[in-house]
Amino acid sequence: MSFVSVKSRLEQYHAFISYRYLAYTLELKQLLVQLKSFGLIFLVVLGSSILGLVLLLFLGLGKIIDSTDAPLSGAQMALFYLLLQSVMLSAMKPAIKNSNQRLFQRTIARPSWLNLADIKLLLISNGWLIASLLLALDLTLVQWIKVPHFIVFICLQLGLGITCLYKPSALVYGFVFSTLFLLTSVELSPLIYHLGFAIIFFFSIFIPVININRMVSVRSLFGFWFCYFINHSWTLVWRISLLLCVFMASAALLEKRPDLVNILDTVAIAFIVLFSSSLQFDCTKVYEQYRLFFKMTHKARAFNISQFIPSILLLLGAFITYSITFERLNSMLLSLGFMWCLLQVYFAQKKPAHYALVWIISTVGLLALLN
Amino acid sequence: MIEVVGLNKQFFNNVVFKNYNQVFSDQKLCIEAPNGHGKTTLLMMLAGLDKPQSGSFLFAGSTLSEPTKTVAIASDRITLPDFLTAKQIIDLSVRTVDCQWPHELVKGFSFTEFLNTRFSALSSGNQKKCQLILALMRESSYLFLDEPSAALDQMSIQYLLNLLDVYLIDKLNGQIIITCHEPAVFTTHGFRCVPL
Repeated sequence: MSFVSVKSRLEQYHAFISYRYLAYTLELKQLLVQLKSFGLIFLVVLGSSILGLVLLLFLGLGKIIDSTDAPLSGAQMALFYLLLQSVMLSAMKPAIKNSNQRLFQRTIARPSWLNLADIKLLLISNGWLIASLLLALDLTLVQWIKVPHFIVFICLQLGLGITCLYKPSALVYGFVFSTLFLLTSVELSPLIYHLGFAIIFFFSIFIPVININRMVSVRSLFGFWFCYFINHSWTLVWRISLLLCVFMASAALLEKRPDLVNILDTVAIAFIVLFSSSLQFDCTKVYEQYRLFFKMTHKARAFNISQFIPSILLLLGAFITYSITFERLNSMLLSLGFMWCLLQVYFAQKKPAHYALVWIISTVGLLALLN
Repeated sequence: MIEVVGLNKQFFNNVVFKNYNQVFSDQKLCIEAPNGHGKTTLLMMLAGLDKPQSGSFLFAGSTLSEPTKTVAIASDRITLPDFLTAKQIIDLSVRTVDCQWPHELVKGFSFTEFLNTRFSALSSGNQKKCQLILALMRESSYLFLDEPSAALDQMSIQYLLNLLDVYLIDKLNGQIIITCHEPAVFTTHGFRCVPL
């Protein structure tokens, strides 16, 4: 290969990578604009606590590294981190892969360039992996020898990131089987837990995708919504992952400060209401998209009512799980949460711009009442 | 006969119809107009799926309280659930509209092998076939087809024309209104072209 042709190929590659960076930044900006209407006020409120959240991230990583005394809780934390990483990367995947212009990319670049650009952008986007690498750099050789499972954890972070891009179905199987592995196994060493995860996720890649959608008979609105959530499972996955975050934080805080149980309950309910009622944003979109189809099939009214049911069901599911997990079954809390969720659902549908403001005022008001 | 009386419709500042009056008296009509002049909007309003700012529609001299029960429409403007398979969409419609499963139509349009394909994965021609099957299976007196031949293969266009030839035989006061940019093939089958 002549020098000229190598130079020309390098120039082509640089032009392609520049395009991918441009597409990546533009899509991320669009993603932020979409989040803006929902999250601007949250950003203002949570903005001050971002430092604390970063600190929590590193504390969690510390727990994963130093899990020799409590290997099971370390493994749980590791799996939880991998889940949150997968949720975040799934949201960023269209930006990382520039999915909308994938075919266009194939007309201008070699297939290997596409993959190379994907991996580069994945590494930039994966804040969880960057945090782990920062900690890894700080460890001495002696410490490294003591925590070999952390190397496996970092490999898992990288591997799951790539799986998220090219074989997302493997993540679903992997997380289900890994959770079962944690539930059924006896106390093992941290390295065995992490190797177990690696083996489970590796074999999950070979499990074929089961198309449940085609097996479902759609003869009613229930079937319609069921199929919608099977096909758009992402809308539930990120909410359930964040609810899991709330549950884990509640458990940790209740253990340290049982005297603050009422305040912690209120904050937990506030987040349960937030994550379940925000599902209405997605349901409203579905309603707007298919309302003419259902009007044509004489189901306009039933379809209109049905759009509110998923949020309510998610609230009930989350609330019952919270009540059973923390033995805090309380009809007063349930009624309050239910009414509050209805209010938020109303604002999500009718006045989305006020949704976050109503949630913050309600939360602050309830906390003030408790004091 | 369908009468449009004093129709006013605008999208933001774009006035589409201003005091528009028209009588569609032919049984088979093809509405002609350049792109963006409101052909689809008119069909949607006639089918009760869109509302005008003012004006009324008279079907055989009276207004319809529930147009969707008397009118069947096939249009790209109606988004079908693209995450369902074609069979699931037809199943859902058959159940909610309460009509017979359209075996003959599916066979006639050579659509059988695509029934288990997700709507979003269908070609534009097959998406059009699915829309047409959903409208035709209802056997409504009033049938509105928005660009029915767009993206269809020749065999399917011929099958559609044969269907439309006999569609109104058992429908007293029935009417078929289509919009089309290439009406020649329809005019040979008894459609009269009407400018908007």
